[in-house]
Amino acid sequence: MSGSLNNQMTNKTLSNNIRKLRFAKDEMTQEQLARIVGVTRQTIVAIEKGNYSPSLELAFKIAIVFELGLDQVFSYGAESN
Amino acid sequence: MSYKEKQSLVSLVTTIIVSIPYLAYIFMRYQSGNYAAGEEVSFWAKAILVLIPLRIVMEIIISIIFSILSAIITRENTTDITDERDNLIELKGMRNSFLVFIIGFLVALISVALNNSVSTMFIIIFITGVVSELSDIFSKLYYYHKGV
Repeated sequence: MSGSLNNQMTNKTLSNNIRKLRFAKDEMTQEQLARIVGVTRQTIVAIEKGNYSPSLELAFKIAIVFELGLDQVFSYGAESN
Repeated sequence: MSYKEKQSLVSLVTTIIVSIPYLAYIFMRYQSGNYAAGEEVSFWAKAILVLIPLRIVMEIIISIIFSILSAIITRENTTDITDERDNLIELKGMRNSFLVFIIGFLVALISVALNNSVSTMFIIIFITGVVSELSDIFSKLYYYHKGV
């Protein structure tokens, strides 16, 4: 039981809607978002591509920029954009 | 290519033009001289002690040249910020580098335990130093490219 639950958890990945949300917010560029949250543009690119899972602090900062809850920006196990 | 990736390439260039030729030079000097047991240890200790500041100074000089050239070519402020992803990649690169160095150090100790000369131990440590440096650089380039 716990083994199958463990497999279900480990097979999932962190995905996000950042790309979609940026376009919805006056076509905000990756550079603009990066400046606001205090990271490099490459980090935003990596997060959008799913190549990097941000820290909880950075995830909150990104969610605050879009004035949404964390679960509306990031999801665990869903398809990424 | 990001500024940090370019910085890793600068470190690679520094290793190629400083550490590897210095390593070759030291080997040649060692082979051309006859050293007594005590002198041998002193020779290798001096060789390593010279490499450390040489490497640091060259890295600083090459980094300054790189920053100036980068600013001229890209016309951007090259004082790029370091964020959490950069720190994570830095740590992972360092971890891989330490792992390589520990393995090399153990091999060096085993060589002494098997009654090889002290010079063999120093040669292994020297090569391990350069290889661990390269593993740090290539690890960073890999994580920047493939994700972390």
